Amino acid sequence: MRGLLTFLVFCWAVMFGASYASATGLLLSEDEIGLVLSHGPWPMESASDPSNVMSGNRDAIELGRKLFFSPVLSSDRQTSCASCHVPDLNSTDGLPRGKGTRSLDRNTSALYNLRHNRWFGWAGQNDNLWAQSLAPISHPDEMQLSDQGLKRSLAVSEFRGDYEALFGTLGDDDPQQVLVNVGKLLAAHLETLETGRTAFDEFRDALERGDLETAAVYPAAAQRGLSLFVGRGGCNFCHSGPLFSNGEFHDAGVPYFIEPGRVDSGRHGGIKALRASPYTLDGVFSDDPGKTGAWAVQNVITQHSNFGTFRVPGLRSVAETAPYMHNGSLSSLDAVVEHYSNIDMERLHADGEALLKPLNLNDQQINDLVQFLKTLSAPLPEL
Amino acid sequence: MAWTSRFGALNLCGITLAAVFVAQAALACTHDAGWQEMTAESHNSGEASIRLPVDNVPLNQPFEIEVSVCPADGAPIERFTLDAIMPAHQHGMNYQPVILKSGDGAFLADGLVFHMPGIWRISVSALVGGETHGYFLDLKIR
Ligand code: HEC
Ligand code: HEC
Repeated sequence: MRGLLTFLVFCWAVMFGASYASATGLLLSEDEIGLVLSHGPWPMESASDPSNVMSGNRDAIELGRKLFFSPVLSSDRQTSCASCHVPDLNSTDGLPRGKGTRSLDRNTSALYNLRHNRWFGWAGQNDNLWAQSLAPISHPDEMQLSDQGLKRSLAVSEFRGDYEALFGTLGDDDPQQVLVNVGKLLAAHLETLETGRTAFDEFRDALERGDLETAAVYPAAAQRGLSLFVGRGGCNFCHSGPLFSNGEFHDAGVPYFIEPGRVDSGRHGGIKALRASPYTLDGVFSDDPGKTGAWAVQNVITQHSNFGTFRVPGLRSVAETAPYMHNGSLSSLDAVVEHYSNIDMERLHADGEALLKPLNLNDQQINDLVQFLKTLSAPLPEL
Repeated sequence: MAWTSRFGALNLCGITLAAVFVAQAALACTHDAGWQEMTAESHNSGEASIRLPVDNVPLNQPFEIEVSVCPADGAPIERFTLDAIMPAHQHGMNYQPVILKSGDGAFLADGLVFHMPGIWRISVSALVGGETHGYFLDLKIR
């Protein structure tokens, strides 16, 4: 269906496009319009997560939200998810790398539009949202609470009643099951955090309708940036679809040294962690007898080229969540675009894919790309 | 993808007809609607055809294909493998498709994922009488 629409827009653009477009301030070619349409529609369709019985359950969402802000999930009774995923900082911490009991190795991810992901974490160390959500609780550098400790902490907390209303008597649950249940509550809450419609979405939908008057409201600089994004920049090879990410793992030329002598192996370690995890869609803690989505963990291939690759971040509302990259090494969108413009080929894997090369953009082109990226911002949901 | 492959399909109809004519003696390979002929890597390889999803091949979502291989001498296939790469980018797929035999010379491959737009080449190889035969098909994914 989408293909047909693209085709119709294409024919229509070929017949009337060129002259009308220039008269109305539309700067994109027919071909570019086809590519632009692939970044929508927004919002995406979403169904509840079959691996999580609490997905979409109102009481679970409410309890998950309370737990997200509660230090009950930490051993020092001081740390909550919101200590690092700070509401006033758009669900990140504004730091290059997260800070727990010590400095973490990676940049704190923003928590929007997660329900559409195939992989979670910069290295895709999890294949579902509840597994990713329970991970910080026991992590030695984050909340440091054992499964036993969590069960005890929950038992004496104000949340016990709400928990038992959803899962039955807490005392009967195995501590590991309690951890999973808490992960599922947190995930039920996080699933609801979706970014709104953007100036880009209005533009894209106007193009789809053939409404060039509305489309022409989209600023010229953003149009030029978008044209670089889907054209010479080749950004859409990796940053594809409505999320502006293919959800897979690539080398964007960001160094993977954490400190002298220590590297972040990225996807390589991510697959190892995934294979060792009891909390995948293929495991016993999934609530989905049909194992929807488990094909990914079952069939993912270990490749030499995985080393030092990271998950392609989605770009919706990216302007609100600096600094950037898995190690937070780039402080602004200008810095990111300059990074791609001058990319250091020496840093890219010799055996890696041949996708990036220095774009040698001039100042205006850099600014255009940044202006385009800014049109992907929308009012953000409250945490 | 939609219209490029449709034009591609038109073209292929012509090629397929010609191929049937020439290869009369070979074992009949599936030419039903929805099947496309693959390119054989050498002249003595007979033919192979492929059935892609009815809708477009999706970007970055798993899909299933069926391949039918008809070696020139009609001998049985001892081993069948399938892979897909993006020739321009020097990379393949991130997931191993699951391959099942679905009949004589017929194979189902499930769980192919093309995670990038651009040209993908699906290659299959069949071991027949101790000799490996290769076939491929290029697809443009948008
Ligand atoms: C000490 C800081 C810290 C705390 C506390 C913390 N996080 Fe995070 N969070 C991070 C960092 C750093 C990452 C990136 C980790 C990685 O990819 O390896 C992250 C990533 C995530 C992601 C992955 C998002 C994505 O795009 O894949 C989710 C989900 C998440 N955190 C949820 C939570 C929840 C729920 C809690 C509370 C139980 C929590 N976090 C507590 C720092 C923290
Ligand atoms: C080869 C695939 C690929 C291409 C092509 C690509 N990117 Fe990226 N992009 C990535 C990956 C992978 C990361 C994360 C890298 C890391 O953290 O090591 C990233 C990170 C980013 C970020 C930071 C997002 C964040 O939240 O930290 C932005 C912004 C970005 N890319 C924009 C672009 C633009 C603009 C282009 C085109 C000029 C582009 N990308 C081309 C793969 C790609």
